[in-house]
Amino acid sequence: MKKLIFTFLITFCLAGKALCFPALTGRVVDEANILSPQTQRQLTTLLQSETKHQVVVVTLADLEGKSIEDYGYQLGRHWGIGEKGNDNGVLLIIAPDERQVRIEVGYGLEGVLTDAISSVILNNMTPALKESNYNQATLIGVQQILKVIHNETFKPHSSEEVPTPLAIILTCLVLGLFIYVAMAPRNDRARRLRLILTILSFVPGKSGGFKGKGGRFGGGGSSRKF
Amino acid sequence: MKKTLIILAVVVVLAGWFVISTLNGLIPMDETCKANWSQVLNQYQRRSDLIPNLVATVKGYATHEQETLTQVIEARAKATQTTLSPEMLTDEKAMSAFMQNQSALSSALSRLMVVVEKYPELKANENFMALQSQLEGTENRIAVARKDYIDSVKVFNTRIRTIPTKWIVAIFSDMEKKATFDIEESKKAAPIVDFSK
Repeated sequence: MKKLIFTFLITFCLAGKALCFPALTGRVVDEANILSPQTQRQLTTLLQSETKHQVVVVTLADLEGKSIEDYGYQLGRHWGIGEKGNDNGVLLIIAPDERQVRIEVGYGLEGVLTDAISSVILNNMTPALKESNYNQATLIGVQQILKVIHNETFKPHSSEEVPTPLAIILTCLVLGLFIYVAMAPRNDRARRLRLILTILSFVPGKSGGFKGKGGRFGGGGSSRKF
Repeated sequence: MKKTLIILAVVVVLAGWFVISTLNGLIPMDETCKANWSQVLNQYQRRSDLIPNLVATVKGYATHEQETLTQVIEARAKATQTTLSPEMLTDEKAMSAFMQNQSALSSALSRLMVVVEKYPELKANENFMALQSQLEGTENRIAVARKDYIDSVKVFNTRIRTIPTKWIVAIFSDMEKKATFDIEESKKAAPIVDFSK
């Protein structure tokens, strides 16, 4: 079944011109399968210790014929790495097949993690990359990126969410449904409640885990062939 | 008689509401185009600001490349002279002049970057390496900003030329189709370097 969905997705991607992006499964997305489980754990711990900014490591099996610069900012936008308004997201992208690496910097961090500094970090990663030692290279890269951006602080962005019309309608609907249950004759209440709970179970809930927060990207950063 | 009047009034109100909502729907698109254009201007400005430093650094090492350097300086001067404010985006001619000057600067810069390959000492200079990566980054930002602009104009231009929006705009508004350009334009302008010579 999984395979079927996968094949379907691939054909779907090929049919459309749009890029296919890997799913954001965590702070380390190893699509190219080049990082050891131990490194992935180390990276995740490191990346989680950075609580202000969002940094994600991603390895790509395929750039789909695009340049890494072109792919990078679109992936950053697609995932929305970084906080909305602060745009403080960073991606470290490695494409082992194309032998390219890139640091993609969100708008908000372009001032600290400048192109020049990104380029120096890539220089420091290059010896390990040339030997295809991706574990060491990503660890070096992540440590240095975090060191650079760690002291940068933003004003806490007001995260009060203004209720959208849709949210208001949904709330009214749910309230209405429960009134419908309460109004029912006693012997029918249980049946109606079950019915409503079934309906509600189809409403997508907020899933936990790591997510982008709407950060924007404009092509800042640096890339390198290795 | 009274009935006809009521129906007529309802039709007029509905039509008015339709016109207003159509025009209002265009405003955010218009604003997005303008904002994206400002971003294009920002990035070109950023590139322009990098050049004096770059030229000064290269001068110190590449003493025999006066001509290439002069070309860059001249192209920069010309490119900074032509500006195009977000309010002037409907002017196709101004847009094409603006883009021509910017791509002339792009070619001059890429010629310079080819020339410096001959100077290993310059390439090892830390200041130069920093400038080079900033220039690369800025060229990339320019490409992204240009693409964003083109995409937003495509949406706006399509909407403004689709019936009935086209009619409504023609009667009630002065909004016009915005000028755009070919995404590959800057790439085409880049010189092809023949190393065999």
